[in-house]
Amino acid sequence: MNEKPRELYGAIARLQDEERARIPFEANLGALLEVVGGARQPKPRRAPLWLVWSSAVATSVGLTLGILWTLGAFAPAPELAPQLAPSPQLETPPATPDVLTATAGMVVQPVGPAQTLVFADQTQLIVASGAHLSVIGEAQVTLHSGTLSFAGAHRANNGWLLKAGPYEVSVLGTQFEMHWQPEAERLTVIVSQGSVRVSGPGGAQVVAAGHDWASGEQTAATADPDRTAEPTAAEADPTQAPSEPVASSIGEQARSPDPKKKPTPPRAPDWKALYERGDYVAALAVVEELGSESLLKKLSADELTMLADTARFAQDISLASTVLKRLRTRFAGGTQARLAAYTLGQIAGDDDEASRWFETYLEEAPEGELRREAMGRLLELHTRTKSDKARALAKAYLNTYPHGPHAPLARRLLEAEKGVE
Amino acid sequence: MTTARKILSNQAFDDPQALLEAFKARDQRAIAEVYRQHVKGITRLVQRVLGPDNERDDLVQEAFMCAIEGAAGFRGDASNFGAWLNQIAVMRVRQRIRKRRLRRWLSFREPEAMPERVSSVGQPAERLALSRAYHILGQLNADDRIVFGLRFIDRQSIPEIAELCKISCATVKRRLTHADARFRLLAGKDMILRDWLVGEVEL
Repeated sequence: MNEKPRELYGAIARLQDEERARIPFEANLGALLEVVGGARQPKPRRAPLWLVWSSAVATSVGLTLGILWTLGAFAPAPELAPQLAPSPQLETPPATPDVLTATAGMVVQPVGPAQTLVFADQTQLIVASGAHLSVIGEAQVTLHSGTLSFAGAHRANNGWLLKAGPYEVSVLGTQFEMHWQPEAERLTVIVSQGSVRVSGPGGAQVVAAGHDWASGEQTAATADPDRTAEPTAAEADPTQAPSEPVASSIGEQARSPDPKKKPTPPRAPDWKALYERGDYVAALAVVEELGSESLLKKLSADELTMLADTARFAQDISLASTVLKRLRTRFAGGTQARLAAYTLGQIAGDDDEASRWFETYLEEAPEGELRREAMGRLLELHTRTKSDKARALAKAYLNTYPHGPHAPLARRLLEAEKGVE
Repeated sequence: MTTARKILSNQAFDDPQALLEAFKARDQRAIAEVYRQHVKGITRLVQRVLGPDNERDDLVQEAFMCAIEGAAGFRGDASNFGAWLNQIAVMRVRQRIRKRRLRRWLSFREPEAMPERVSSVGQPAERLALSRAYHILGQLNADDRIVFGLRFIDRQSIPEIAELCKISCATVKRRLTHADARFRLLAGKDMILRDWLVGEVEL
């Protein structure tokens, strides 16, 4: 194995070790002991043999259908069949199975264990015991009371809308929990991953992962030390500064709210903090909320590079390309502008465009820190497109970097051409 | 103090064999002690094979539940109890990967459509590399993925992997060769990972 993959595998192991140090093992042990304690059931008396055999055939048929259902054989592919037939009759949730395929008009009021609803786009809603929820459409529900947890597909904006009284929660991210008390007109939203947009009588704002939002107050979460490290108003970008002070302790979170207090809009999260946390999709969602065009005019070269990386890592290559090109226009001749050329080569949609950007980088930064990589990438591209430039570039590469990572490719290319001659 | 912490703080098993017997009898203090001793190792195994995964903690809990349910049938002694627990964890991971692949196949979904979790620690570039690496490993079959994770990420020896997976060393080597080649092929086409594998790119 060469050194490069070993570095990758080592980096992966290191990240996992760091992540493991944060797992709440004690809480998980408590849950395990509860399950083990509750699992001590007396063994049922064995059924008579005739009853076993007579039910065996029916069971096997049911089991087969059940397995196929569980595995999703009957669930429509998300892209193909998202239609929900309206059926506004009241449905009483059955005790089993715990997982139901959601249909429009379905009303769920679990009285026993929590009920999981699976939607056509594979989003899952877990409706807590005692809650009351109606499914309005393929990506819309109304929470009449109680608690639900939302776990959706990891997309920047999947069009989900959750209503509770006068409030609407638009989903920009992936995982959150909401609790609605209709008597007190109090909505609480706890975002664990991604972000959501809450709108209601107090206005509309985005709530990011690690933050709780409640009508009448807004609090910073959580037990996760990283998440409390959200920058303060003074540290944040002026364009993203909060309109209200942000509470910073769990103690403040626990204070009793005044239900009659006018709801305070939550502050917009800092996309750079989300980027640093690795939540690129949520960071991009915030950027879209703020308006990427205004950011393109204001941000510094370093910030534009970060924005381009955010878009790139969130797989929005089009925006990444736009940001990098704007960076090159606004900061022409600078180091970041030269690096942008290299990155544009990396993300280019076709080989010709990629070649042009790598050549641009080499022209602009003949002694640049990525010269070897740019030459290597260019060599790959010229080899793949069978360009006439490949041979000259291979020679130049070997002269400059005889032991570089693309040296074997350059030698193979020259030897192959020698063989042809 | 939580129930778990109370139990954890009340360790009364100096003799490993006594701990094992109490665990078999579903003594809650013994279960807590076994959990404390082995949970990090089992979590590490699950992490190495699955990567950042929403079901990681569920799988670890499942492995312990499975061990508690099956402990009465364990015929070994305290010295190989840990290895037995690890085998259960690997078996559960294998079942989960196979089930996911089957579900994906039945629902005609592309791997890209599957939701993935992003690690919450480290530098952005490393986090992204980790995410992409496991995205690619998700395209390997369960057996290849397990040996890859245990060998390359967890740095276990081939005999150790053979024991964990209950297969021969020759089978481990064969699966490793296949997994390594497939990973390099797919990673070489990945915009992010190819930077980590430069020099190994096949054109």
